[in-house]
Amino acid sequence: MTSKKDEKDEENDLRGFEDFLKSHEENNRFLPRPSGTGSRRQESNFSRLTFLTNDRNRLMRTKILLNEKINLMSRFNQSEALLSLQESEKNDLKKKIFDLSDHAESPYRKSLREVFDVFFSHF
Amino acid sequence: MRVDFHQGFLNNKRMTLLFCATHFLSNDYREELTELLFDDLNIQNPVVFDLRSLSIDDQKKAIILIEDFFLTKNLSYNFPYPIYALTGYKDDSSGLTTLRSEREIPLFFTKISGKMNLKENNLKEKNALIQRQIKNTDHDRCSEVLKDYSYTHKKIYLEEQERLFYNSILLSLEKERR
Repeated sequence: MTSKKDEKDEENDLRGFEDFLKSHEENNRFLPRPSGTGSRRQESNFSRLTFLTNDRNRLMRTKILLNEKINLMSRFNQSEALLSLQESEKNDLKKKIFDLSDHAESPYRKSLREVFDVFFSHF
Repeated sequence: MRVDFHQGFLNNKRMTLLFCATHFLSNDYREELTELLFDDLNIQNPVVFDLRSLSIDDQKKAIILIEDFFLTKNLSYNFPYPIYALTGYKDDSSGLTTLRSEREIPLFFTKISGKMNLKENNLKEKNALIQRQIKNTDHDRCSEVLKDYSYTHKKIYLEEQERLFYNSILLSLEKERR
């Protein structure tokens, strides 16, 4: 008697879930646990965590740039000093090149002489 | 107006990581922009305005509208996350970054989005604080300093190229002299 009563109770408990249970009859493991390594879910989580960490680093660098470095850049601007230094170096180099080229046996004059000799030799 | 979120979007905003939001604008772009634009638009993720369905004149006007919204409120459309205009052509005259296709969106922002676990959520909360700090900076002044800095450093680079050219001539002359 008790076994029949239990069966009836079980049927009553499962009423309304028949369709859902039929769809899962083929699968023996009901609601299987996710398998351990290499699942897509874990991989995507890992990529999100990496993204968030990288994004945090990016945001920190941006914050330092906007709040600290820009203040220093505007207060102690080195651009003009660098430009004037480059200008004086360029002038020195030009002067040296001119000194080396401005005598009779210099490579510059030799090349010019060759060009003129070839051009005017026909006349 | 069709609003789509790049690479997926889930209902629970707090627990969802969104990498890049895309807004498709139609011919009623003026009304759409007034609905879409708000102060904290780019505080959590980059935003793409897809303007390719508009004519070129309307695209330019829409870009100007977006720029004006940020400039008048002293907000930045580059920080903390950039705002892109998907125009189909390259427009260097505007301050807004224009893209020719979705492929030009930085890969850094195009990942698979979804629900986050507790650890990721905590990290995102910490990031939100930094994002707010960046948003609160004086962007008018910052952009001026950055523009000046980039202009002078481009000049320094060109001067340096000229100096190296003279240096190479001098070295070759000295070699021949020996």
